[in-house]
Amino acid sequence: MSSTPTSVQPTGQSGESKKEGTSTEHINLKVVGSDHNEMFFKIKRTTQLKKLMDAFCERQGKAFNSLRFLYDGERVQPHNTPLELEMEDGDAIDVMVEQTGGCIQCC
Amino acid sequence: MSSRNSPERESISDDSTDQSPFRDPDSELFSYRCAGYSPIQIMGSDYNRLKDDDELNDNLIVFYMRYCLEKLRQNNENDAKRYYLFDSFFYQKLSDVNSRNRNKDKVYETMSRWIKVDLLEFRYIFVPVCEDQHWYLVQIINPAGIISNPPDCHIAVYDSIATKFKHSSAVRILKNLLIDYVKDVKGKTISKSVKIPHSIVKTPKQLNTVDCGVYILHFIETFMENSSVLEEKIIDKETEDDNWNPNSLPTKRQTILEIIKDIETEYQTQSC
Repeated sequence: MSSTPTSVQPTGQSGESKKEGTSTEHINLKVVGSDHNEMFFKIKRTTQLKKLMDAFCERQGKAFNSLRFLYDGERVQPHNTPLELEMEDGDAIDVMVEQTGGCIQCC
Repeated sequence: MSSRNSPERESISDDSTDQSPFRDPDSELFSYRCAGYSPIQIMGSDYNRLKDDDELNDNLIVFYMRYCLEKLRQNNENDAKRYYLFDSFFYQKLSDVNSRNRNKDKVYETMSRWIKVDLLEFRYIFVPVCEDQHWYLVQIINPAGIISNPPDCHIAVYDSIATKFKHSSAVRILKNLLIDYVKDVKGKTISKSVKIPHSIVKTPKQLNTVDCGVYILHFIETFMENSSVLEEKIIDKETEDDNWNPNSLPTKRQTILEIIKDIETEYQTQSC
């Protein structure tokens, strides 16, 4: 818990804080891992999503360049902000693991 | 692994002018923009995969597909408008949602958020698929033709391995998505049991265990260069290896690497 960045707070559960949830400055985002586990983040609309991405990677112990963050199928760039992507409170970001293919198993 | 992480590693290639053959895996080389698509970030780790004769990843596949489309757009803008290229995660998500939901309406409801264009406006839709650590490619020719009776569209599968890989579920899942899409945007109901012509395109086969991604990129690029002839041959199941410009396949990986280097140089000059 001590490693949690102050500006991007995983909130644990959806709509945990009703008082803060009404703030228009912040937004609650659901980050859905490739294992279908969900993690909730509260982030300022004007904060770069890199903070959320870094926090997620750190919590999952994954390298940044091994994961992809997609918002409605569009790849999120680290410098994007929720405001820029017109994200709404409660929206989901899908996290996908890098896809690689040769044909080791099928040849 | 540690040696690949070092940008100072000596190159075994004959490219003596390249002083730093491998890139810092965590550095962003560039962010590539193709009109109509969100930018794709190419990292040092992506470059190193290509350089190191490693398997291609989603970043390289999506980048190069879009690079081919941009190249086509510069030569013939109207021709480029006929293509739509899905991200490589589209099929993965579709397949995952499909296997987790018995309620098929829910599948379409989820996936419709991922579809930002009018699919029926395009002549060719390319769907790169990564399954069981293998890349292959699905192409939907004339998607709007699914409304005709009998359907006047075609689903083609490109696969560079010689053994029979199972593509039937990808063909079925994509067909069902198209049927749901037509129902949603046109209000027209088509039976899921409708027969859509489909085929496995006869193409050159890969000679190693790592190049399937390189091959699908080559097939897309070759198709774009000669679509009028190839479309007919694919539908008539008459393609031969020679239709796919096989002579440039052995150097394809190097060609893609050189293109990435050029864009990297251009991008870094611009950001200075």
